[in-house]
Amino acid sequence: MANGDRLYRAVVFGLGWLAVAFMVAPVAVGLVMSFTAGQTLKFPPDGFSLRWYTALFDPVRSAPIHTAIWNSLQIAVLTVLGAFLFAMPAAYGATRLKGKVSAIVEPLMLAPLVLPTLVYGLAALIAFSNIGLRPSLPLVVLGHVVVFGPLMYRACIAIAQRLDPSLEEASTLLGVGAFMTFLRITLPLMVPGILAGAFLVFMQSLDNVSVSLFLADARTSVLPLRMFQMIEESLDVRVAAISGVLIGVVFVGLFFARRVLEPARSA
Amino acid sequence: MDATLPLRDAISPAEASPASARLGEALSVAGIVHAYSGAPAVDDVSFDVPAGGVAAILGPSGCGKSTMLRIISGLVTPTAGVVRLGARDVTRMPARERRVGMVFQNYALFPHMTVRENVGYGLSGLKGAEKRAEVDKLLALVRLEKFADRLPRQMSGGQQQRVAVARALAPRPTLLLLDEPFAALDRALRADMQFEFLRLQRELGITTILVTHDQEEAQAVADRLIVMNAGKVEQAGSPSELYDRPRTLFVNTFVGQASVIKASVAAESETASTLRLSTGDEIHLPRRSGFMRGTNVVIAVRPEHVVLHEKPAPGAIPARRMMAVPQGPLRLHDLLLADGTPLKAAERRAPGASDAPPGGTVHVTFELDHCRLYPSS
Repeated sequence: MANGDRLYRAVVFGLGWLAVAFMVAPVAVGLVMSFTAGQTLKFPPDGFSLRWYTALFDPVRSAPIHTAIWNSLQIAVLTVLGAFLFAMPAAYGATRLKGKVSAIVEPLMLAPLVLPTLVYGLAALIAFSNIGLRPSLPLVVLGHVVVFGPLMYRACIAIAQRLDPSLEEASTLLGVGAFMTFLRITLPLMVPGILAGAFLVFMQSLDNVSVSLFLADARTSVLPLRMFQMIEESLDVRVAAISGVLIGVVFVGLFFARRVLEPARSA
Repeated sequence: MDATLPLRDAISPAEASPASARLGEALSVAGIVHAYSGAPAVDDVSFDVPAGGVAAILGPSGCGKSTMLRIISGLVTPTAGVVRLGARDVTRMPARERRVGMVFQNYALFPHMTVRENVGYGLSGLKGAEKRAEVDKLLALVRLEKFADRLPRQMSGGQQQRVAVARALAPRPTLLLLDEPFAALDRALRADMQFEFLRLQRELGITTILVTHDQEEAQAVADRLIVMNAGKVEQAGSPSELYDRPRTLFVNTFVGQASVIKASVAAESETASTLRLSTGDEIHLPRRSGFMRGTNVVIAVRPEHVVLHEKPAPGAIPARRMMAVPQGPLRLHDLLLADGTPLKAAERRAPGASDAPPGGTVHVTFELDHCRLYPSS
């Protein structure tokens, strides 16, 4: 028995650590490279400096990157807003459906997660062109809402399903109407799901290439596409610096997300 | 037999302040029918609760008692029938306009709101200092003044229940509904909370209906019991009426305990009858049985109406002792009759007497005035 236990632990822990290493190592390599003092992206780096971060924040030399970042942030924020407006009520509504109906609605709502985004991007471009819409920033937002909205839907439905229906009944019996009940009881209780969904949608939208590739016009450059071009052209180390900034932002984001999602419930 | 103190007698109505004792309205339901997807959950239910009264709807799970509570609250609209509150027909009135207070089984406190916010939630007409004062008054009523700024999860079950009661009372309802209000509390706390609740109820004079599957709780708190089974009212009346004169076998066994013995009517005359028990023994009733000769019946006998004899006595039936449990001043016996019919007996315990070992034979007679006969189903 003891031998079996040891083997089991060795396998489970071994696989676990292998997975962690596999996920963390590329991030660490990227981060380390961004602090190079040399001219090109390579590992291990030639010396240590912050020169590429300085270059990245230089308003003149990196103006195209800043434009791309600004576009991407706008798209991500608007996508989160769109996902909130469509997917959150959809998730809440889906929990109020009868079993048969929700068995039909649920897969439909999640379908964009399964469909290859490249296929969706191309299809959307063709469809929009047919009704006379040209690629533009709003179209990118629209595409992102469709593709990443399901992430918000999933995060919200997980919370909405656990909401106690008697809370809304209690509110009704205290003389409060359906809409105010939703605003004062249901919505505040769904906040953890909404924030989790918002974080996922924001990151996915910021990172997306395939949908933006088809739906963005030539003048609207977005960050991931811009970075891709920079690597293609010159192995620009500023790409690593951008990655470093994004990694930092994600860590800060995750830190606050943990705080919000797991408040001091035990206090 | 019943260890529960009849709380409703312990608090005299004289203590109630007459000024505030005008809150309650009478409730009357008539011919209520409701079906969930075909199967009727409630079938032709009618009963009345006088203004200021406390009624308990009592029954096993699935008997339709919770559905009745939801119909009275307005959360469910019945398929047929009328709900009347005071002089108003409220059958079609939406729940939010009905001014009916409800305490849910799990209390349904809003977890993201403090006690003060929870209690003030239904006071939509009041603002600022006025609202604060009203909430303070309600918190004082349930003795939770010091807990106003706590969140529900920082409170014990008993405290949460009092918050739920205060919140339900805030919009000054004329009727208060409670769904299994004491079920989630442990036994010691339950009696305290029941007493506390009745004090409050008497003080306010609010008409109250509670739903419970616990007959001791119902008897302790309510002055009127409505026993439901399979969607129908079996019997309604005062607790002692239901205990002493149960109209059906179900009520006889559900309100208090009773052993059931199969029998058939062997002889029937104007003044006496003879019953042949399933054990083959005969017992003689000094009255008519009300059944024709040869009819199969069941006899329901409460434990306190079984008399134990150590030696064979005239008319006594032998029984085997299976178990004897001392309970306060009583000793409860589980006996088996010759044909395997279980029989419960309660005996006053002599102080200091040692418990008789199980396994022996004992002889039982019944207090025949208190044995009740029902047709065999």
